[in-house]
Amino acid sequence: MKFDNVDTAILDLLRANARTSNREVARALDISEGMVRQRLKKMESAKAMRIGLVADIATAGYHCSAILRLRTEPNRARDVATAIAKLECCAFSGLVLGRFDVLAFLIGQNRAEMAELIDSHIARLPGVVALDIREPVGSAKQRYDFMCVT
Amino acid sequence: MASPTKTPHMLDDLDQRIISQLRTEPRATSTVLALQLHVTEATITARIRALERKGVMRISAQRDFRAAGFEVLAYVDISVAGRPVQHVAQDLAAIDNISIVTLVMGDPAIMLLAMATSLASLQDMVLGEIAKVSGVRCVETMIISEVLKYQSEFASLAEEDTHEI
Repeated sequence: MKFDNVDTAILDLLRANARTSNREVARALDISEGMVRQRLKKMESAKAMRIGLVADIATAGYHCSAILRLRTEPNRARDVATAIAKLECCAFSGLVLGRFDVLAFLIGQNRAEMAELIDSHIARLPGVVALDIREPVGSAKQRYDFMCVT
Repeated sequence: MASPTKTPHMLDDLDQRIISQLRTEPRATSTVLALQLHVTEATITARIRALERKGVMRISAQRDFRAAGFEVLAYVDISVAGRPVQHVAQDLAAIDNISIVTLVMGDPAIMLLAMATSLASLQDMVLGEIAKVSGVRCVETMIISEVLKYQSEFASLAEEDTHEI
């Protein structure tokens, strides 16, 4: 589904605090509470929206992360990206057109463990030709309200 | 600007239990939570407000980027010259359809996740808005042709400005 203006307005109000009641949302947008409830239900069952808890990464015990870019053998990119996506520490995995074939984002509790996982498991996945690791040192923006239900 | 070296907040047992409940039922009312956790409603409300204020957690309505009309995702590497990296990063963060701005070790020092409704509008963003930011020396764009997984369950909330999102 694609969001219309009403869907977007509802989501904009709920993005920083989705515990705002349907009644408050209805009042802010001058629509009925029933409409808010109906739209949320529609978006949720279409898997276009999810209400959930976003946790601060450091407080949750994750003190390191890595942006991985991989070059793969021709036609192996999907297998590699799929294998990485299965890892619980993987927050993002995608196929890429460009200098690399796969892009992934991992979070971890400490650098040594993460380095070990990348070296012993990811680098040795069948089809991986080369691997580039970038280490985040700060964040200037993160729209945690975007995601993808796959 | 958030940095992973900041000391994380200590959470007590009740905070942990509240977070655990909210993971499964993010919109559970304070009344229900109070009953489940055997504390007063006022305690629940105060604890949740404190957790949000301290940037420990947010309850967020998250949207699928495709339903939001974005057809193209791209990762963009930015090399910086002539200005501090943090200042360039902040100017890039002000661009609307850039959803993630990450400072990384080494060079290129900034990596962005850009969202666009079409290739044409991605081009406008890269050649137009991004190129115009002072201090941007070099730009490399990688088009994400297919997303296999994209979760946003963790973020650097602790030093978030309210206008950033």
